[in-house]
Amino acid sequence: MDVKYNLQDLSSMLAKRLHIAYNESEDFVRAFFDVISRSLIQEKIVKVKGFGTFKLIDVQDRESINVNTGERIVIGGHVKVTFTPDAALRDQVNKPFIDFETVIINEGTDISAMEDLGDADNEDAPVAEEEDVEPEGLGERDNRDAQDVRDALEARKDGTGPDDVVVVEISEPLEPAAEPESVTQENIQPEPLEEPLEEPLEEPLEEPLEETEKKTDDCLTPVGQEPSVSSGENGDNHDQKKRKTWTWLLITFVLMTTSYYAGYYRILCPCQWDNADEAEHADTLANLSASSVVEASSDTVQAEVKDTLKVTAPVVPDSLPSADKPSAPVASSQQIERYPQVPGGKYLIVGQKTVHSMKVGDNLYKISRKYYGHYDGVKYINLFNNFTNPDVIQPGYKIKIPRLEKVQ
Amino acid sequence: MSNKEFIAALSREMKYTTKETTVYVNALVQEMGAQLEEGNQLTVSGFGSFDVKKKLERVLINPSTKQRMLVPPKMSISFKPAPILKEKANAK
Repeated sequence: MDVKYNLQDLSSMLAKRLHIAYNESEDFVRAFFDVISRSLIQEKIVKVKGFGTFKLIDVQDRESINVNTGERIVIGGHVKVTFTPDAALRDQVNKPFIDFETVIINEGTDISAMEDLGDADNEDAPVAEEEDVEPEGLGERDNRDAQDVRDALEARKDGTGPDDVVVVEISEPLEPAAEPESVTQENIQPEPLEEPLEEPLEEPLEEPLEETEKKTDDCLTPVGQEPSVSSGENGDNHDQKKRKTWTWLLITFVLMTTSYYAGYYRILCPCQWDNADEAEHADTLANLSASSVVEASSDTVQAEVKDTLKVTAPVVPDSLPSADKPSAPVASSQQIERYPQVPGGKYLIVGQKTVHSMKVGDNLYKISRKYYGHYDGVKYINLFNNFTNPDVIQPGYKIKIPRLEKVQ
Repeated sequence: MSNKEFIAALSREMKYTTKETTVYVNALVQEMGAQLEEGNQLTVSGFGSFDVKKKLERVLINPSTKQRMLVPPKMSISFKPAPILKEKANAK
C-alpha cells in the first residue's frame, strides 16, 4: 500500500505472472508504453481494453493570475494528455466504496458543514479505512465539536447512572459527521446537568433518575421507553417526534375505548349469548342503535330491510358457525311436524325461542345474526312468521324468533 | 486508435502474434490493476505516473430540479504525464 513501483518492478511482476524471462517481460512493457506514446501523438487517442483510454485534448488560452505577483497572466493554449480508466478498473480501485450510492438529501437537513469540503485530497489519511473518511475529512470546526461531546461523555461517566450515559453514546456514533447545530444542542444539555451531579457523588443512582425524569418532561415523550434518544436530535425532528407520539397515543386511546364498548355490549361475539341473557342483550343493543341512529321514518327502515335482504339472499356462507343451543334436546318427529320447515334447509324449526320487537334500523339479517350468530336464519324467521313481504314490517311489530336445530 | 489496432501495432513491434500480444497485454493490465487496487503508485519514466486518490463526499445540486444530492466518497485513478510526453504532444 502506498508503494511506488517503476517500470522494472512492473516487468518483474509481469514475468512472474506469465512465467517468462525478466528480459522479455521488460522489453514487452517498454514496447507497450512506447506504442501508446507514439500512437497517441499520431492519432490523438488510444484505447486499451480493460485498462482505459488515453487522449490528447486541446486546451484554449485562458486568463489567470500569477500567484506570486498577482498580475494578470494568460495561460497559453496547449495540448493535454489525459487518461480515463475503464469501468472495470474504476470499480476495482473503488472497492472500499463500492456499495456507496448517491443519495438525495431531504428537506430540512443541515449540510452547511459538508458544503465546505470540496475536493481536497487527504494525502495523510490512510486509504483503506473507509469508516474514518468522514470524521477525518471534516473541517476543524466539526472536530472541535466532536471533541466537546467526547469530553462531556467522559465527565458524565463519573457521576451518572447508565441512562444518561446512553443518551450521548447513542447519538455520537450515529452522527460522526455531526452538524454543528445538533452537536451544540447536545453540549448545552449535558453541561447544565453536569453541575448538580458533581456534588452528590454519594448518591449517583437517585440523581440521574431525577434528571432523566426532568428530561422526560422537557422532551414530552410519554411513550416513555426511550426518553434519551430524542434529546440528541435536531429541533425540527424533535417536534415531529412529539406530534407523532401524540397521534399514536390518540389512536391507542380510541381503539381502547371502542374495544371496551364492543366488549361490554357484546357486539362482536354472538356465540356467547345464552337463552336467558338474550332479552337483556336485545334491549341493550336496541338502545345502543336507537341512541346512535338518527330518527328515521318508516320508509328508511323498509329501505334498509330491503337492501340488506338483497345482500343476504346471494350470500349464504356455509363457513359461518351455527349457534346451536346446547340446552335444546334433539327434536322429536312430533315437534318437526308441528312447525313448518324449510324444504332442504340445514336447520329444523323446533319451537319458538322468543319474540323480538322491531326497532328503527333493525332488519332480519341483523336479527338472524344476533340470535343465531349467522345469516342463514332469515328464511326460517320468514317462514315461522308467515312473512310474505318482510320489507313492510313496521317498527314496533313483534316478530317471533324460531328455535333452530341443525339437521343431523 | 482502437484496441484492435493497438494490439496489432504492438504485435508488430514485438514480433508476436496478435493472440500472444493479447495475452501479454491482458496480463500486464491485470497486474497494473492489482497494484492500483492496493493503492500503490506506478511510474513509467518517459510516459507518466498512475496514482490512486481519495475523493471526499460532496453535495451536488441538480440545477433543474434543485434537488440536493450527496455523492459518496470514492477512490479514483489519476494520471500525470511525464514532461517528455507533454512536450512531444505539444510539439506536434
